[in-house]
Amino acid sequence: MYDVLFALTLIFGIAAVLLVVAAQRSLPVIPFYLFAGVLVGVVIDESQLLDLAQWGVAFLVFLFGIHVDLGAVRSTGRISVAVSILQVAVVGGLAVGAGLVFGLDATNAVYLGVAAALSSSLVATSYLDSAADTRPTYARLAESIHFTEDVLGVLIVLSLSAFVYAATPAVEQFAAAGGILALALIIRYAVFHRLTARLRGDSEVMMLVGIAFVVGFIALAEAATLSIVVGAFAAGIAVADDYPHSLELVDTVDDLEDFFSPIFFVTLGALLTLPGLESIGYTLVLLVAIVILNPLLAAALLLRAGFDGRTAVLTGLTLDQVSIFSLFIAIEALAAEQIAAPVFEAIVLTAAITMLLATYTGRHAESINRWLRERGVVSALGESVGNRTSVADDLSDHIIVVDFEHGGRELVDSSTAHERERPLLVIEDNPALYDEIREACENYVYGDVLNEQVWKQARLEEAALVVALTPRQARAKAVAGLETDVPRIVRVDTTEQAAECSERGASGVIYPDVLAAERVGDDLVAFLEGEISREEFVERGHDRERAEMGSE
Amino acid sequence: MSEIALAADFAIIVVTATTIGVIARQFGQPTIIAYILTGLILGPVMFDIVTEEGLVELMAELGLGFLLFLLGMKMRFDDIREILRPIVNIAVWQTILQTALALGVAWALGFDPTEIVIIALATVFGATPIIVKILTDKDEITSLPGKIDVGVLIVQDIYLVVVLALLGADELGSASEITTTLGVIAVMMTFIGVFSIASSRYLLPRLFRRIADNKDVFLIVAIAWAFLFIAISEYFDLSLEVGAFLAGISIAQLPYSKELEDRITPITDFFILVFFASIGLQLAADDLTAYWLEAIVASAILMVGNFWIMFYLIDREGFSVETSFLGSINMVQVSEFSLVVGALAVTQDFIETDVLGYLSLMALLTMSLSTYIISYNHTIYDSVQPWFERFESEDKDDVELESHSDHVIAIGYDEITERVLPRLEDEYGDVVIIDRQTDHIEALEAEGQYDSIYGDFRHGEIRKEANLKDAAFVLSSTVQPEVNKALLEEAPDDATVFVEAERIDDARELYDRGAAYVIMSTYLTAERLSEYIEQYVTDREAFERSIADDIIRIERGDGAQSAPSDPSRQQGGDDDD
Repeated sequence: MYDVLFALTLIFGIAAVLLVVAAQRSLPVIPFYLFAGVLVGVVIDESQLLDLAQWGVAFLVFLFGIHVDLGAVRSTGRISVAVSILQVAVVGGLAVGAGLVFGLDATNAVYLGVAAALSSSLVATSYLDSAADTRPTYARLAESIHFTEDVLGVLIVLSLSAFVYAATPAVEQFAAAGGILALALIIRYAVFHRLTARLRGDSEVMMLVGIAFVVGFIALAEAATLSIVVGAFAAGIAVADDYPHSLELVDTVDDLEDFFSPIFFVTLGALLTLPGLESIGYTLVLLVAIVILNPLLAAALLLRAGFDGRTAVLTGLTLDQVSIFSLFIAIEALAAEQIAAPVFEAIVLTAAITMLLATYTGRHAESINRWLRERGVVSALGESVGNRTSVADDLSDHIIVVDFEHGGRELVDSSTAHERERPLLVIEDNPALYDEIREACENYVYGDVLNEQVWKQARLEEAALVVALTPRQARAKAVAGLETDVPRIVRVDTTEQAAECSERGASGVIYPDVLAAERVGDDLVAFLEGEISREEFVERGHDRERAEMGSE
Repeated sequence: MSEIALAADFAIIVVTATTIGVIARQFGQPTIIAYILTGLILGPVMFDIVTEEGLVELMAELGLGFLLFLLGMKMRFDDIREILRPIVNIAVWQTILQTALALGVAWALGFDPTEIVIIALATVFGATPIIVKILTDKDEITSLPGKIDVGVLIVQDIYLVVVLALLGADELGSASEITTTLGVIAVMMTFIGVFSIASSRYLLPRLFRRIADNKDVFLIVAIAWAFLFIAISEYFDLSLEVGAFLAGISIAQLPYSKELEDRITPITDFFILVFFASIGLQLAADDLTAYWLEAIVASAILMVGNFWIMFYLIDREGFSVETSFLGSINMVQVSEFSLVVGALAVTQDFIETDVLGYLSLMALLTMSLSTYIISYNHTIYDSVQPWFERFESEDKDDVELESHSDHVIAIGYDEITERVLPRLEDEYGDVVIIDRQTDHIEALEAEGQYDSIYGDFRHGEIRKEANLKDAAFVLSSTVQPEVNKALLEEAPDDATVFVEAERIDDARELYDRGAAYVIMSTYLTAERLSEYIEQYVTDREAFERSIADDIIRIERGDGAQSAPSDPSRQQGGDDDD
């Protein structure tokens, strides 16, 4: 027992030191865990950690299951599902083929294919994580693609346990999995709410319920000789998004996951040995597939689906790492003694490399995009500008509004309401808003502000004024830095940004927080000095909100 | 790996504990009772389907480590500073007197000499998880009796750690050996203690300031810190509990401890479940019943006896009769540590499992009974007050406690809060800012105008620290709808709550849930823009003047010196780069 304590001390000690380094450079933590595992593996016997490592897998998948939001998937929808299925099928197929050429048996070739095809949502979400509203289109797209791939991951785990690990390959396994998921859905819609309503706010018992779900569903999965991944996923599904009680549950399980997932990753790292020539070969295959094929293929598919070039490339760039599910699959295959050691090593090694690389490509996505554009790659992939654009031929002296979603809508509305003469033109890159824009405005350009073509179409040189309402710094800066004499007003969120934008040539800035602060300050004074009663005050807020509703 | 089945024994324990835990909570009983019962049901006493070995043993051990780590982290001397002297007096004498009483009772009940000593050492009164949990639910944890109890429990923990260290030592044959061991323990603890204090002064603040903004790293470093101390104390042959406790103390005095406490608590709850269940697992059926009569008698005598000991001691410090009464009646249950000490004594072969059964039975009895006593402590006092009036006297008076009430809470420090807070301070006097960015907290502390708390508002510990339940005005500058909804749910009904929203749907829902005002900067932005454009069309010069003014004003920093902004928003703005 004290061996395990010693091992844990080592794991957390080494991981902590490495993580401090990682945090300083804002790098992702998983590769550092794997690296810590390599160091720890020299000293300890990792087989005794497998028990605790399994908990890491269980909690990771459980939390993923909880965050499954079926409604959200439906809304961003079919495009991303189609794109991810195509991308997974093509890249996966190629990698399986490469595996067979290398002389692997079918099973191992499949492992290679899975690792090449799936991308990690965990790494990606860590830098895509932010309030839903300020997220650019590409981040939302990426999220739903990752989500689809994770669901595919669960299905692959399921298929593997049904056909590869099971003593008798059986379709019954699928029936059992279906039954478990059905049970989860019944709990989600019929039981969960009643349970939490009784336990209102008791975080300790809520946590117990969460863990009991995980353990219970995993036991069910085990009984049906299915992978624990399937059980943990079902447990996550069973937890309804029953605000606010599920918040407590998610927060507490989150902390447990934070404790166990390092053990999982470090154990994985500890299982690595010095890679031989064969593993390096597979690693190269995987790297080519993941770093080059995946992003390009996804971008090409998205362009076909009508997205603009920048959105397509940036989305593609979020797909350049090994999925966490590939790691689960690898470690399960290792335990079932189904995977060849070089393939296992190649997968873990590629995971570490691509996760680090993904941070780099994530940070420099804009310049990679520019680089690709300059070399004609984007247009070679099939970019077309102009098919979703409507600009009057003689448009001039107009006001160009960038970003319909963050205030552009209100601006257009108030212009229509006041019957202003001056024409407006909207630039937007979110296809989800396309229909609404078409209805609301006469002039619009669908495309990205970083694309010069878009500005030409918007007849920038004839415009009277440009207002950029986007909360995204890179675009605000781009608008401020346009080489033109047309005055530009941009939205900023910090003083530094304000200074930078006006330095780049913006004629004016809008600082929503300062505006809000002034307004709130005035309203508050009126309220505190008793000029109006509390009821009137709240009523006024409601009125304003209704008025804004009406203008929508 | 898939055949390990997540260690079936452990899975059974968790599911059973959850079921019983849910039932126990329906009766207002603490979960610790559910855990002990889980062990009894699954162990030899009833079904005998789970054994205490392997993973279960490891997890129990981890549970104990984390429990002590957490306990150490709660030793914030600042919290009890105002009543430190009376608390130390009370705690020291309470420990001495109740140990003497337990010794006497055990002797009278006819236990062996060794057993008597162990029982006396183990029978400490006052169970932290029960008292803190129920008083928090009743909103009395920051009242004076609550503070006295928590303070006494903190000081008592130090005593318990020494007892654990002593029992963990191997050589305890004679009085001189005990003295030597105690001496060695004292030296070791001093050594590790000095290291812990030194690091909490010089190393940790710098380290944590660097990493506190990164959620994952923050937790891992803290856990690594605990394991480091456990390793050191094992090296010195001290028990793991001592190390974990000292690791906790070294973090306790940092501003990050509240936030960390909230993160460590779930992990502790998870493992400690196994620990308390494992106590039940160790007991055979006849262990539990061997001394059932003794356990009932001792429970009755000790509950009454300890009430009077506490009452006398608190009263002696000059607190009012009501405070003394409430402070003592909250403490009438056996500490969870008596089981920890008992379990250790069994491992070290000082006692047989039947004595552990006696201790467990006493814990079950006193804990379940005292739950109701604490829940109805005011009612009980009201009915016995006439009789207790005889203890009243002129010179008894309660200390005034510093705590926030009818105050302003600001969540997140940004332009809006910065602009509005001075006005709110004039009105309400007392302002607390919660922010989870270390640089904001440091800037606020340096300025010293407002109180600040480092942490995430999502965490209960943080809300408790800010005393949300007594706030008069809350200003939330986060746009996360779920945080704002949680805020509206928990804020008192008569408080004025201002929240921020990005979307009209969220705004509507927040109004429906009782927000007095929803700030929507998107709409204000559009409004201002319309004005600009109007101006641009009608009067070009005025337009140019006003946008130039705006830039100057913002750059000069009117209403914002440092331009901090809400972290969630900040991320949103950055993710395009």
